[in-house]
Amino acid sequence: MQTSTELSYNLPMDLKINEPRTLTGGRVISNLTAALLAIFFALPMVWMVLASVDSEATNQLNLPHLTAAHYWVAVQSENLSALGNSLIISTVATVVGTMAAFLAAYVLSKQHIPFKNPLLLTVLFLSGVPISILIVPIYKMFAALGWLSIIPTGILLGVTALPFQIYQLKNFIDAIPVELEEAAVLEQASSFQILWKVIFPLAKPGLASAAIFGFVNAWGNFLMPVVLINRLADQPAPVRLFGFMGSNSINYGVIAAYSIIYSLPVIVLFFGMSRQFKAGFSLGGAVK
Amino acid sequence: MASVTFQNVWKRFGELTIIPDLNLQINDGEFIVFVGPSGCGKTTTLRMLAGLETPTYGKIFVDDEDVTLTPPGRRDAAMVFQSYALYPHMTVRKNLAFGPAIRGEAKSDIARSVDKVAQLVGLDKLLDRRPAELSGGQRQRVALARAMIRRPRVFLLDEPLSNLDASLRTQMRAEITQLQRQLGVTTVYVTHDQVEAMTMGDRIAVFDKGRVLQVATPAELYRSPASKAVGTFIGSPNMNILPASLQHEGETVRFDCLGTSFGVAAREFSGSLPQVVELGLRPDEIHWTKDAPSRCSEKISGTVTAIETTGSETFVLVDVAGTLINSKFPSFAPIHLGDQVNLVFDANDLYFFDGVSGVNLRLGSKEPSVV
Repeated sequence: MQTSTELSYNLPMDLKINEPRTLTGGRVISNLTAALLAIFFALPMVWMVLASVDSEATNQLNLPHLTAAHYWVAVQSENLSALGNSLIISTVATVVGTMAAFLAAYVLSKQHIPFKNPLLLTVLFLSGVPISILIVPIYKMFAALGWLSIIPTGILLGVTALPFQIYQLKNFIDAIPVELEEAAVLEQASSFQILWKVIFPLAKPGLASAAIFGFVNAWGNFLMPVVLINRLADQPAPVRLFGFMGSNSINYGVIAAYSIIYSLPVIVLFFGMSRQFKAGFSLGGAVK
Repeated sequence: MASVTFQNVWKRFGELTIIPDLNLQINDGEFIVFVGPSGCGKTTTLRMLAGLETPTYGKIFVDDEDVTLTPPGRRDAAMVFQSYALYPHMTVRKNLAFGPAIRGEAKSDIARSVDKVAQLVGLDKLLDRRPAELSGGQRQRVALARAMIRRPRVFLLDEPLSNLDASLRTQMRAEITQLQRQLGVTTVYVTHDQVEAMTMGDRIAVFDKGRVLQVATPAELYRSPASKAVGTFIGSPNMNILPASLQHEGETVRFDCLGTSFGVAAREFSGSLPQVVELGLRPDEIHWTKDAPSRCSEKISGTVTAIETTGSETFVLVDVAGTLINSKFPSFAPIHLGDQVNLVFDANDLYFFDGVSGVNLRLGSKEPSVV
């Protein structure tokens, strides 16, 4: 027999439950505005999905005459290899940028270095300068050094993401209490061991968001590869996409289908990393 | 185990002098407490011993080895931080094993010492939890265990109990003292809480404005404080300071204090007496006339201005001719704000301080000497 330890209450049946009003003029207006904006931004994507399966696709929003032909064109080997090139460029850019930014952010956050604040301000300014304005001298330098190929372009794209990544990571590392490093120093840990065993695991969410920024920054870039990569076969997906727009005809269906395939890796990346974000910045129990 | 010596140690941050000329000897196996108000340099001194700060001038010795410029890792000092500084991404086990693993000890040795130290501080059931899943007291134990997993030469604790609630603090106080006695490791304990200092230390170093005012056992510190500053800092509630004037009458010195007058043999005082003196009297040595030992002959009276009852005792603030005097009354004594009360004390319980420098003028014994 089970004994109930629950207390019994006499609920006040004669009273009405208190409920705040949910339907107010302000709420209606703000929700309507949000819905309108959402539709506005959703329309292009609706077009993309519909046109990709429409045998008579145009730049209008139409009900599709269903076909898979556009996807068939989009996955032809030269189109897939362009996606592969994008993957190479973006991976190189992500690794180079995130690693360099991690080291720089740690130094700027925790070490005493001369002219730290002017340096940080310069970095902040540079993060607002588009690399495109330097394209001519960079092309000259790359040409002179014989670097007009896929890996150097990837590295350069990683560098363009650096200023922003440094700021992103510095904010994370700033929040790691200095006592954790001091405790490790007292245990005879070297600077590298501290960086690798204490700072790195705690900065992971920051590293994940910096890596995503670096990847997307390189993945979407059109100008750098088109200028800095000599061989047509090494060109990445955005350049390939541009190729579907001929001088006298534009193949809308293929553009839409290829765009969908092109956006998949980024979506996968976001979902993959979302666990890192959800884990959040967990310094719980470190101090206090 | 080791002894520690601070020799003419100075610490300056830019133009600011935090520690001016510190000389201090800590004995082998001793539990010494650095106590003082915040910003008095006690934590800085501890950090210099740990190697986290470098002294601007002077030398620090551990045993006979000069460690002034030795990097922190090679001093073999273990430290418990005020904030505990546990690695949040590691389980308790990994937190404890961090140091040994860094020093490249064998896996089986590490596992054994983790289990041993966990047992010692009662963490054996929590080894697979992360710091975030522990209570404040448990985190405190992990921090202690992490410092104790090796036998360091010096054990440093920086206000380790200040983040705990009052009852847990009392319990941990006893546990830490007991652990230290068991291990016999030279221990430096920093706190701003004089109760912690009095209950835990073999000896106490009282810091103020970067200087060590006195280093003594708790009993010495309480009975013969070197100065007014030490006297008022140690003991709760604070020592009362009474204004007094004095006259020399041959072999005795006559003091007038708040309307009462008594003589003290001149030989009691070291050296010549200054013009201005202040008298110190602890609240539990000034009594209500209705509850006083018979030896108390000096009588003063005033108006009750505040009453603070803790249950076991009542402290009453009495305004005697403009001086507020805190006095211990029996618990729930029938007195009220505004009442006129008579207080008595024994002149032998008085401390005599130089009115300018605050130096204790009657050091040494406190035998009855009033004539």
